[in-house]
Amino acid sequence: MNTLEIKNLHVSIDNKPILKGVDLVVNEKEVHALMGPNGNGKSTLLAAIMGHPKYEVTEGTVTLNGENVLEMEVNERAKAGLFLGMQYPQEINGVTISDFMKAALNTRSEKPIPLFTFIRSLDSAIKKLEMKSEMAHRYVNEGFSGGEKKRNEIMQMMLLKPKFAMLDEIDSGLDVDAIKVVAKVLNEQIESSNMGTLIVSHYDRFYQMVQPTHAHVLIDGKIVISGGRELATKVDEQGYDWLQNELGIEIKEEKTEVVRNAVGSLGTCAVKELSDVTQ
Amino acid sequence: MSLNSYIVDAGFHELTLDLSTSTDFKLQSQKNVSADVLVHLVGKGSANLEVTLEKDSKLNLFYLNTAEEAQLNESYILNKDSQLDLAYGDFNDGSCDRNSDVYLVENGASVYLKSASLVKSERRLVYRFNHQAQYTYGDMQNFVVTLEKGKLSLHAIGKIEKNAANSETHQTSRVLNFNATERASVFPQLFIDNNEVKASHAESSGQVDPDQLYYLQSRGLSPEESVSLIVKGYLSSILENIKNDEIKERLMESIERKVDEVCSR
Repeated sequence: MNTLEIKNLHVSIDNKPILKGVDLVVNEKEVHALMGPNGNGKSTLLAAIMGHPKYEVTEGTVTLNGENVLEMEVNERAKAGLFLGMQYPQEINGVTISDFMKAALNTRSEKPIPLFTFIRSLDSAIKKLEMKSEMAHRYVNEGFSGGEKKRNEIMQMMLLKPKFAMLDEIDSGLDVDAIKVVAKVLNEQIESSNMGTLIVSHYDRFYQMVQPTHAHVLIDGKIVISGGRELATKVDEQGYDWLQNELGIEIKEEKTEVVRNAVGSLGTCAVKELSDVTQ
Repeated sequence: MSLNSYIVDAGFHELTLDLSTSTDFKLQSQKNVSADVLVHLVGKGSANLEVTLEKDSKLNLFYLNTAEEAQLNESYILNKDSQLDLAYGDFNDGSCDRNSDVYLVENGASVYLKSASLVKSERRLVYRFNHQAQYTYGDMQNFVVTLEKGKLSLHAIGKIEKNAANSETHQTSRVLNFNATERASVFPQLFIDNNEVKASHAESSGQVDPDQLYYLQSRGLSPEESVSLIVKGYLSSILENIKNDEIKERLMESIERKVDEVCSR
């Protein structure tokens, strides 16, 4: 059985502590809902597990089937079976979805994947997500709407078949029909490949379609309460305020806007360094 | 000293221009004819290239530069309603000095230029669109990847003369630097002598975007594989206009081979 174990995880960014001791165990086939007010560490947890260079782990461990994930490079973590559906997926001009996925699949096997098999898998995934088949030949996320970018993340998950999928607000930017399609695909994959998932979302609407087996609330960098399905419903109905009284804690909600897209070319009369990413 | 002169008829043609032995090269398309020409540049030396597009002709011209050292002086004359698709694939290790002038001399002529350069040594490129008639259209897209000791100066020039009303000239230049010491210099220039025209230019220059690298790596690609994919994508934009699938495949393979050679360190 596959197990992702996070123990006493402390993560900082620019020396500022964000996660202050997170403990979490996700087993295969389980669906963990991760909730909490904005700015309290949910995205940080997922990004730190995936290995985003901006985040510094100051204490604690993350293991996948007993293997130390924190010692692995980002690409090794992916090959070990971790997947992150990002909140702000990158646009990559010049690289088609097809080339990207083919390269990602080929790096996992000794022999290159037969072209016909690959095209069939890609087309099938695109169809299941009710996206246009031309999408395979478009540059990764370039000119995609928010909803298309999110569905593209799920499409990649379908092809790469990870052991654990971490989804960061995969439902934001999707209309009701798209959410239904994504939920259906997710449930099918959990069933067929025993995938474990860690889902960050605020909306009960999504949790109604992808039923969590476990739910956690992350406040100020720590999981303050865990429960089952009913916890997700309670948060949706009552928000997070009731936790202040019940647990005697103070809740701070941060509103931060981080722009992640680096513009490749601008309008007229200006030159910009592509290395300026965050504003 | 040999003179290579060709009148291009319809269909696909593949030619080799050996700079060690030739100094002049002339190409002429025919009225109403649509042709695709792939030119391999080899050897070491300089040459003058003259290409004329007759009225209503379409020429798709692709230069694959594998020369050791090249100095090229090129001029393109575009007659009424002719269309030139011009692509430069400079993946050679040697130096290259190219001066390319496109003259849109009659109404309705149009040029689409795409260039991709993998720069390891010194390269000086001057691309100039001269709009000398009305309703002429020019679009230039330059993609440059500089490596280690590569040094590039690129002059992208759009010139619209007084009598060229209702014309458009556009250019985009993108540079990807792997080079900490030398940076590619791009000089965009627009000389506009008529008010009823459209013109634009856009440039960007920088390192490989670290967020893009992280995204690719999060799908399992190593840092080298990620960079290689991004660079190949960048450079293969020039193949977009190639209709012949077999040629496109072949050129794509040579780009991929070259990038793998250079990016796997």
